[in-house]
Amino acid sequence: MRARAFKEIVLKELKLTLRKPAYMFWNIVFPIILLTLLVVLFAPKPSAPATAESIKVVVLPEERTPELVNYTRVMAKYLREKPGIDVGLSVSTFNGTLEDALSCLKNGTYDAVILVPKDAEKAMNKNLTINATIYLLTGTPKPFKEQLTRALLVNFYNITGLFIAASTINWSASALVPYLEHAQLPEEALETLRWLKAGVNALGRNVDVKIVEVRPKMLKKASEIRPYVIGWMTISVVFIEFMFLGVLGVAISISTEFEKRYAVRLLSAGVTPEEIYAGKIVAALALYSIPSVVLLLWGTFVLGAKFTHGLFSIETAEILVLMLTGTLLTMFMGILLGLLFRSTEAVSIAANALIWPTMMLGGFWIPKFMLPAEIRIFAEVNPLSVLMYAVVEVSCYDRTLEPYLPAIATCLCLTLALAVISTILFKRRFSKMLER
Amino acid sequence: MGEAIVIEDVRKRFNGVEALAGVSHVVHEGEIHVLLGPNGSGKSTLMRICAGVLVPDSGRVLVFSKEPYRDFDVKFRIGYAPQEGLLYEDLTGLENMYFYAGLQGVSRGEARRIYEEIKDELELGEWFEKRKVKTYSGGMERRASIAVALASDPELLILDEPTSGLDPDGRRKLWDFLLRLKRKGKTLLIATHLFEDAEVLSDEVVIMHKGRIVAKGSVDKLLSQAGYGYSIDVEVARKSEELKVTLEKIAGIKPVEIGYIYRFYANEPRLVEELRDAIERIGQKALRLELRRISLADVYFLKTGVMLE
Repeated sequence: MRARAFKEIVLKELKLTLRKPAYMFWNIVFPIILLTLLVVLFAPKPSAPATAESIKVVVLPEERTPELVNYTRVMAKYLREKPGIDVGLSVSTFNGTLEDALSCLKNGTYDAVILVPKDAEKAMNKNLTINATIYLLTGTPKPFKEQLTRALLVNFYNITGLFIAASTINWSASALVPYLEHAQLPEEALETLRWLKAGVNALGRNVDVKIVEVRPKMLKKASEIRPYVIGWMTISVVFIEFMFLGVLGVAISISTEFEKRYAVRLLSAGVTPEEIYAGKIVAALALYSIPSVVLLLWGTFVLGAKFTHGLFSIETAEILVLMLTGTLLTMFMGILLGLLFRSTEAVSIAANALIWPTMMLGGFWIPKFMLPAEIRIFAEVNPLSVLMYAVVEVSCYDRTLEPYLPAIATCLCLTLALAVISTILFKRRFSKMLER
Repeated sequence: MGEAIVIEDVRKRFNGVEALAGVSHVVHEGEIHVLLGPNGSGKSTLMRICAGVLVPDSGRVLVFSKEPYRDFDVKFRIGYAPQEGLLYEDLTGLENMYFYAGLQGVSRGEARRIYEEIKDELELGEWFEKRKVKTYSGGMERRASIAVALASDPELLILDEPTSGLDPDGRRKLWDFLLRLKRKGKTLLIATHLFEDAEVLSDEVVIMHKGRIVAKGSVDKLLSQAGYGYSIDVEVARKSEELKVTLEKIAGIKPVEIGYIYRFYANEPRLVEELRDAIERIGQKALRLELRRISLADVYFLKTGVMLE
């Protein structure tokens, strides 16, 4: 591949695209308007107090035995009455199945579901262990509420566990000390007994701690939540752009190339089909980056988006890889569409028919957790949604990619497969075009 | 003079249809060779193989001793203007020129120099520099296409139907320009279906029909090989079998019927008088009786049986 020819093709593609008013509107102006509207309409207002959040938790037993139902009810009561962080915590027992409870959780009715396992009471009686499974709603645009729910429940179980253990020691040791005082004990053991008595007297009354409410830093005000929500919205709009620019834009570009047969003349100038193909791909990548950078700058500096990692962190590198995968995936989808249909009109219809449902059902326009359960299944498996939500998790919620790794690997394989198929089809279509 | 193009028994099929059926020819450096034939005769396919766009199924084409569809460097010595132009519609003519110059390793400055050199001769006005190709008329697009083919100052120019879409004045100016290029030492391979182009421009005419070369040589040679010196057109108001038989008897050959015209080929110009007398004798009248020296169109008809006007 000759560098000069390659460079000329890339520059030509950029020139052809960038001078189109439609490109400037749909890829720069429109997304900026869209992002601004989303922020104005849906981002949390800076004045809104964050502590007004209400957390809804339900507790249910794994089996409906009277003992376990009672145990569950007691646990819910303790949880409800637990003094703690100043939030509107609502706790109730759930009368349905776990499946029903999880369905409600996914719909956003609850923030957490606590399952009391069937052997919970036995474990308590046997070795004072509290068994429970907590199902926590995650991936919402309110990561701080998620953090608070998690902290609240974990804290409850830790404190309760400690309290039960301490109470049991207090009770059993108190009963044992009078017997020991009248027993014939060696001199060395009497000193230990003295300490045991002091400890038992002190147990339960050994806490002299002031309660200082310490909330996670970012929970202080909604104005500190807002920048991360704007970050989430910015990434959504960048992915929406990937769909428009990648699938629709690239598909039309490829289709036009074949319809107009420009390549016939290019070949006579010593350009190879590979150079044309590679030039188009690189130009498309450059064209992708323009609206992405503009949107990120607009979101950050004009609308005030914040991301959890610095520009030169490992997480940012991960995000870039994910976004590049999204770019390539949409681009090869576009190339494939451009090759499969004969006319630009047909390509345009097919691309629109693909991108709109993908965006609407995939959680691009509407957050995934707000989608009906039946539709959310699509958002859970759609490769582009997976990539987008993985980027959001890392860049806005400061989470790791770990839960997304299998899905990301699938996306990479899919991208690779589309790349291979597109390249083979491009070569075939190229030969056919020359013979027209 | 060296050989610019050597075509050796080239064959090409598209979807089972034979576009070229064993074509051989040689174009010497500094000459203009014109491929003459109607659409579908194989001209464009042959030109695309010469330009390195298509690969022949068998046989080979050598351009400056290299196969252009395999050796990419030789393409830098070729300028190709396809029939459809195929310029980028959203670029200006000059931007197209810079782009193709760049592809062929010519700097922008050098391309500009070439443009300055040819712009008056090709009448490339402000429109070429400032307007996008999609706003050009047919004639502008043809001239722009030729200018782009010249962007790298190639030694060989391959022009497919360069005069189509031009008005008579534009055609004459383009003929002059192409002849000047020849005088500068460039080799030109031109495809056309217009006999005038071939008569004015060619050192050698290659008559193509159904993927084959049916005749070739200089215009004079082809005319002398035709076997006749004249063609006579007899246009009548009403055709009749009696008239046809009478004329045939006088001329000694069957006429070619083109609508209400009977065309005869002859070596003696006086036949026209004999035909006029015969028509009058049977009480009919010729609307037009025209005697012409035999032309390339006649040669094409005599060689292929196809009448191109």
